[in-house]
Amino acid sequence: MRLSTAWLALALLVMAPIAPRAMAQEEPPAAQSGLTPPELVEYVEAEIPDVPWEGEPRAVLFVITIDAEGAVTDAVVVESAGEAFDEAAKEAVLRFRFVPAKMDGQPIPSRIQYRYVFEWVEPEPEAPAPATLRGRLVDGKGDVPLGGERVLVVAATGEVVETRTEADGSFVLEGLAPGAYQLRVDAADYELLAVDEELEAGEELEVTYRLRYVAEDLPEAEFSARAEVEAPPREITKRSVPKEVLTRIPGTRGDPLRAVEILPGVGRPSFGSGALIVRGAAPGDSQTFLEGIPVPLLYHFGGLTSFFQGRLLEEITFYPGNFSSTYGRKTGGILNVRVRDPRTDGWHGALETSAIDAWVLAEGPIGDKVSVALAARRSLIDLILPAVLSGTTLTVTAAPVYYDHQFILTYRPTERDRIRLMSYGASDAFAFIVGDDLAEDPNIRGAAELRQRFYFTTLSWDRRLNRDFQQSMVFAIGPNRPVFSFGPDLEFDARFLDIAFRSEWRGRISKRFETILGTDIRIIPYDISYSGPPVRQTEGAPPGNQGSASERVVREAGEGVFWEPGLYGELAGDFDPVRVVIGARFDYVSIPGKAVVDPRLNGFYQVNEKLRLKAGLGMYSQPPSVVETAPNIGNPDLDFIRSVHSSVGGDYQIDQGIQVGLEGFFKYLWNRPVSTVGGQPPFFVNEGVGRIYGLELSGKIDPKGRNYFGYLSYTLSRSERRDLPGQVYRLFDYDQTHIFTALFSYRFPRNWEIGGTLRLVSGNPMTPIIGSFYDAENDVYVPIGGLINSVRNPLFHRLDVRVEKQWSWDVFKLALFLDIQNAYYAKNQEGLLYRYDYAESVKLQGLPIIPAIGIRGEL
Amino acid sequence: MKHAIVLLALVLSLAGCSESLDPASRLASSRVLGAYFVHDDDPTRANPYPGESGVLELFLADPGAPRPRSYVMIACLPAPVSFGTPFCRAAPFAAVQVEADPGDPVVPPALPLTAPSEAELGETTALLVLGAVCTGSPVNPELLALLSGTGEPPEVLEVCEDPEADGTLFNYFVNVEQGDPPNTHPTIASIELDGAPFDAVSPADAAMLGCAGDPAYPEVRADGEEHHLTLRVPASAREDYETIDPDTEEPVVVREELQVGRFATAGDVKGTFGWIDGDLLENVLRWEAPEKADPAGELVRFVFTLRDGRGGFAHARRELCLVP
Repeated sequence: MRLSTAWLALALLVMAPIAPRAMAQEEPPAAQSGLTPPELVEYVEAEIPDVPWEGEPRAVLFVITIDAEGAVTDAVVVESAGEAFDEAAKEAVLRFRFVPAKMDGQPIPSRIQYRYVFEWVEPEPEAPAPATLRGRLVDGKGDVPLGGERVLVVAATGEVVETRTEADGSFVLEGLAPGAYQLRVDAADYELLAVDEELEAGEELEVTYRLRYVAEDLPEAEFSARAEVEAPPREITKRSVPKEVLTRIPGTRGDPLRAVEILPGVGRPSFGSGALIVRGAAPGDSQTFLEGIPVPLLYHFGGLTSFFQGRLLEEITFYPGNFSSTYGRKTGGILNVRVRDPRTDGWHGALETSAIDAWVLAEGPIGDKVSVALAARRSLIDLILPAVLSGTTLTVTAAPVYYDHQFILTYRPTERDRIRLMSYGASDAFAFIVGDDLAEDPNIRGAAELRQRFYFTTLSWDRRLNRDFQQSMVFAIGPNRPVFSFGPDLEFDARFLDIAFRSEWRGRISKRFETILGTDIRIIPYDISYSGPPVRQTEGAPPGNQGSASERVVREAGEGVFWEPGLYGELAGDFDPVRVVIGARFDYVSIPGKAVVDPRLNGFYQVNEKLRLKAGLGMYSQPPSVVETAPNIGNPDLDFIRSVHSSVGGDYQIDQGIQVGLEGFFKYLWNRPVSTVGGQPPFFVNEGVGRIYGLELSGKIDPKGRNYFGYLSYTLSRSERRDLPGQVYRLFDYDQTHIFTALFSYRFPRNWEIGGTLRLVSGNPMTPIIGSFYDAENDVYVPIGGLINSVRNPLFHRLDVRVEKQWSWDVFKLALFLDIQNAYYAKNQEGLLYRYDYAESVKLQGLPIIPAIGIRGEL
Repeated sequence: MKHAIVLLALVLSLAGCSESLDPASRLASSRVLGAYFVHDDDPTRANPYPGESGVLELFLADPGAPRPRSYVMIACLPAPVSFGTPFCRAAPFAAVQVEADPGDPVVPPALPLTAPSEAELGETTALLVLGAVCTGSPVNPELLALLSGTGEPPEVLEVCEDPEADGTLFNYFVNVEQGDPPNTHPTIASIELDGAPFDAVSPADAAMLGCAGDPAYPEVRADGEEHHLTLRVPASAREDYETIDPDTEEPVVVREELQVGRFATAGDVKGTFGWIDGDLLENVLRWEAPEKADPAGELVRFVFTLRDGRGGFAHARRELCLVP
């Protein structure tokens, strides 16, 4: 009875589970005197039956029996929710545990109603697979791993994930939700790295980040480089000099473009003229590009200063051979110069003056998306040279003056786009009159003039199409006018309007493959006039007094348009540890109306983290020059000069920031235009060949973490030519068997820096003069040459020294420097000066000691 | 770039960065200073018409008494070369080889020749004369074959049998007249020294020392001072002739410009070459006297040559006495 009463008293207890994760809700029964209802203490969730069910909750009402121990001994369905739900619920309910009901404090069996409810809950969407970012942080120059650095990854939501790199520079961030992130690394002595990454679900992205080192006491205004993820190698030989070193090289007066002279494979031009002699190729066989556009002039005459403000440069890259299909129309080497964007962190300025020239630079932002830079330079040597020449009857009528200017406007309308308007130009002019007193040849008299002006405007647009592809386009237009005249009969005056367009798409088409496709077009309206001695092969020419009175004068003038369309493509495949780059380039030139296709192949094998082997083979073509194909004085039917480049070598990292490299190369040339015997029509024929081979050893110590840096380069090479069939090979005009350069610079306390560059170079070949003919008609002597280039100038040696002292204040920095070329006044021989009849000679000395003291201020 | 290097080398050499050499104006040895054609019928004519005959003579000058010369000379049709040493395109049509003994009279080397006919000339407008002349030594016997294009080029070029002898290889183009009137040799009207007539010419074998007090020569002190020697020509020396204007490519009549060669055995000649052009009929040579002289006085020999650029040639010699 009591039991029954108790059961009746507990009859309205209700439980409300929540499906699929059922939740118990216990309603306290009405209390009766002396009776305590059972209390659920262990709830068991029922499994959701595998039956069609959507929307409405399902409830099963039980009458359950609980014994005096609190266990459920029976559960009887009172209201069904369907058989499957009933059974699932019953199975769960039978496993419930209760605190038993009590009567007057004593446990008693009880029976209650319990409603088990399956509630419908919309299923949560499946969580996306997390992404993983595996990275490696290395020094931007020497692949030195950066361990212990903090890496922050900021999600678009603002969530920040942080880790630190291991000793080998690696780090892993796992479990990242897909989406956009910005990765930031703020390592001491390095530029802040901020790179946007887009992670897809389940993706495992592996990247290497190169940080750009900046010595803490370097002037900030020098560069505003941003860290970049370095592209895997495409070229067998790609040499660069870090920016923080570029402006500190002794003998260059801080001119970054002159720094290329310290690299292996770069020959020494006579008189330091700045002519780019690369791996035994003539200066005209190599090309300098500025943002992908060929430039007509690298240095102002005399080779003293490059045409572009060095502090606006982003990167200088030098390819002595086996270069990418991106570049064409040259068989020598490529020097590619990239310009940086103007600074956006406020307005900055710099001013420098030395005995050679003076320049000014200003840059800064205009609003959030636009930044501009403006620089200009003027030579000061015109104040010096007249004094040097005083006492001679050489009258300077237009002092050697050069100017250059640069204007850069960068507009970033979106994160993906960069539009840049750039204007740059240079003007060189030098004119003098050789007085009759000096005339040893009737034609070597009168006015001489050397002038070159060019003004280019470029518009470029770079767009990141998506995470994998990028597109860049650049259009350039500008006049270029070289003028040279000497004496009464020699004059060359050309007016070109250079129009160039380059468009390129590059990106990754799969995890293994990357591609580049591009077009490279030049259209050049021209108006050229020439009068002077017959045009001839200049390299390897027998000694003669070209332009002397003994030669007849030819005249030729013409105008028209020549155009050079080019197409190129490359496919790079990564098959770790091997990487292969296959490329091809098509070029057409309207004069002389010839086309050529050059295939190229480069391969790399990463032996281990320190050692990389590489090899390349490719064809390279170059159109003959304008004068060589000019009607009446040249041969309009000349074909492309062809060459094959091959190289093999390796790079080895000895220690942090210390790297050495060794490369061997062989080049073969054919179709070289050479003069016919005595310059008889057709004046030039494609019958010259050449071979160049050698070894290049390089070593460098980066300034990272050091107060010093150094470079060592040695080139052992031989460059030979054969002009006409049946002749024997001879040395190339600039063949230099040994080229040794050692550079070391040390930064002392209190911002003193002292450095030196030593160069030892084999003397250039010369052709001995074994006699002469007296030209009785014109009263001059004509030399008779022996074997072409069969003797040499003595070994060239020179030491350049640079001393700089800097002072820094909060917003202003001041530097005073002394840059001395040929510090110990080596009287190097650059050739021979002959007596009027070539019977006697004295040595022609090269540049004397050239000190340049300067001062630079920066805001 | 090559032009820039040439200019830089020139500037450096002129700026005194290298040692100096004797200028071309210094007459320090026996030298060939010109060649000219002497027409058989009219010695004033400078060039032959096709089929006409004459003699090509060399003009040599010596710093002292002249000595007999050995020489070889050939005349041929030239190969159509644009530059370099000219050479024959066919076998020589005239040749001479003379080996002089020390006792022989001093005569100018000469090559008699007859210009080929128009048919033989074809497009050719000039005759090539190649030769070699040696003083005090026979000419290298291999040279004749070499000049004729039949010999092998030597590794060492010796003009004379005696390597120490003064020897000169030379070439000359004898223009073949195309138009009318034919070109004539220019003449020299007068030479003045510091405004006074300067006509002193020594005998060819005159002693170079001991001229002090000799009234035949004007005396100049060896004090390093500058003197002016003025060479004048008659107006007829600068003939008008027709040529093609290089700019318009139209026929145009121009006046000859005369190139003056100026040589001296001592002192500093300010410029080996001078020009008589524009409206000028004179050329002034600035000559700086030496600062030392033999107490007995020493002869300073001046030689002037005159070229009209079309085959016309004249020459003159003068001497003065340099005294301390």
